[in-house]
Amino acid sequence: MTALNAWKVIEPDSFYRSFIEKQQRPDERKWLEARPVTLKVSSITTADGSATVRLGNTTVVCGVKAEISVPDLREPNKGFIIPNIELHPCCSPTVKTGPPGEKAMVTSQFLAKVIESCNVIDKKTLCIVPNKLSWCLYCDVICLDYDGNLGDASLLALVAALQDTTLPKVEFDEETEKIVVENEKTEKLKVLSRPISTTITLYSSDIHLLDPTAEDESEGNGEITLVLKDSNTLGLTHKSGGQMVTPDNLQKFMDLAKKRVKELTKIMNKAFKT
Amino acid sequence: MAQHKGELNFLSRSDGSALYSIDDTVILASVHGPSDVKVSNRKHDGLHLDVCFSPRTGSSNIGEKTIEAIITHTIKQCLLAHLHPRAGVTLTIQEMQSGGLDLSVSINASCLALLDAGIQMSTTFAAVTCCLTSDDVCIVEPSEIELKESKAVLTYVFDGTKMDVITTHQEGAFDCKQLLKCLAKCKTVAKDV
Repeated sequence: MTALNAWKVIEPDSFYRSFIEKQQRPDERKWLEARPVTLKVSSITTADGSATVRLGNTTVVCGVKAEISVPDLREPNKGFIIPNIELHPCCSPTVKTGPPGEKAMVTSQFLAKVIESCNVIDKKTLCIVPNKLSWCLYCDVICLDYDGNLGDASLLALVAALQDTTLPKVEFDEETEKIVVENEKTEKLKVLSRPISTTITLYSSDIHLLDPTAEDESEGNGEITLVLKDSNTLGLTHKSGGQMVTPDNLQKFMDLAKKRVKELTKIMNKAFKT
Repeated sequence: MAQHKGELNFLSRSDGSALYSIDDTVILASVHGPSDVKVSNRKHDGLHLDVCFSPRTGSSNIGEKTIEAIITHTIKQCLLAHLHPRAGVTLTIQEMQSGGLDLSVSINASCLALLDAGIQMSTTFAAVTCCLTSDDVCIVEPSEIELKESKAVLTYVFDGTKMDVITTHQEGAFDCKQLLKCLAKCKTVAKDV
């Protein structure tokens, strides 16, 4: 057993390749097999909405907190949704303390773009009184354990947490400018679409690995992420450098993504029924 | 096709520089290297690439950082990094004028600047942006007004030899079948770039 571990540490490339050649990966999955997903909603009682996602070992928690704010002058009848992801040092030895690194910033921006592109929530419904009051939803996503595929897990957690969010009724008296917020949270947030993302690591020009672990990501040569709004609408594609792909491969990835949408939508529906 | 203009060796003090413009978007890229790099960033088997994107107004924040990340990964794929171990290349991108096509112009400018500096690359690359209007018409290299009214904006980076896709970046939702159509259209334009 120790000889095998020694091989993994000294020569990670050839160790990994020996699995790939046999159409498998070190965690006994095939190339296009995804890890099991567990989704739990309302895990944080102090937040207005929350969800915890476990994608294999990758653990991500999303909490949504709503605050009252003044709408932007340029868009006086729209509220705000601000996603932010934090990678804590406990999640991986590659993450250090201090300001957010590139991965956290790129993923935060990715989440913000998905919310905008896929029209997850109509920002007009977040407005309480045009020009005066609106809701600002702070969506904090925290990664507790990073074992690859942060994008998929955090998007799933974010969308589930938004669907779980309930807001209290707010009364605004025009004359006295007094804001009264009810204690009971009665208004469920209306989620218009539930985008699902699929990440595929490109190991070589022919070998593509679905749902990569941290090891797959470091051995591979780039990732491609496809976000589908529903089974036919492509919300976002993101591929930053890495192995080059041909248009046939893009079609193959889209089919994989469509399958993934079906699986994850089922899991989301199940989590909300219980 | 929109008006493309490129000028090499624009700056006198850098190893390589290029000024690239498509219509109203003008971007200046400057390359320094291969040269010294901090000990913490030194890689024993290859080149370390540092990309810095400065917007025209304001300071650099998360939006700029994502552009830098996309450009870094795209270039890493094309550079022959193993030829310069323990060295570093700094690529600075300055936005001179914004017409909405920042990402693709930056990438094209970076390619020219790297060529001007003489840093070995395995392939050149070209970036093309297209937008999809609400009637599902694909416009390549749109103007700022067309961008604002479109429902999706896509940027593709193609490599120079096999015309495969190195990078894609997309904002806005549209039907899956449109993806391949836009890709094919961008490919034909990229050949000219």
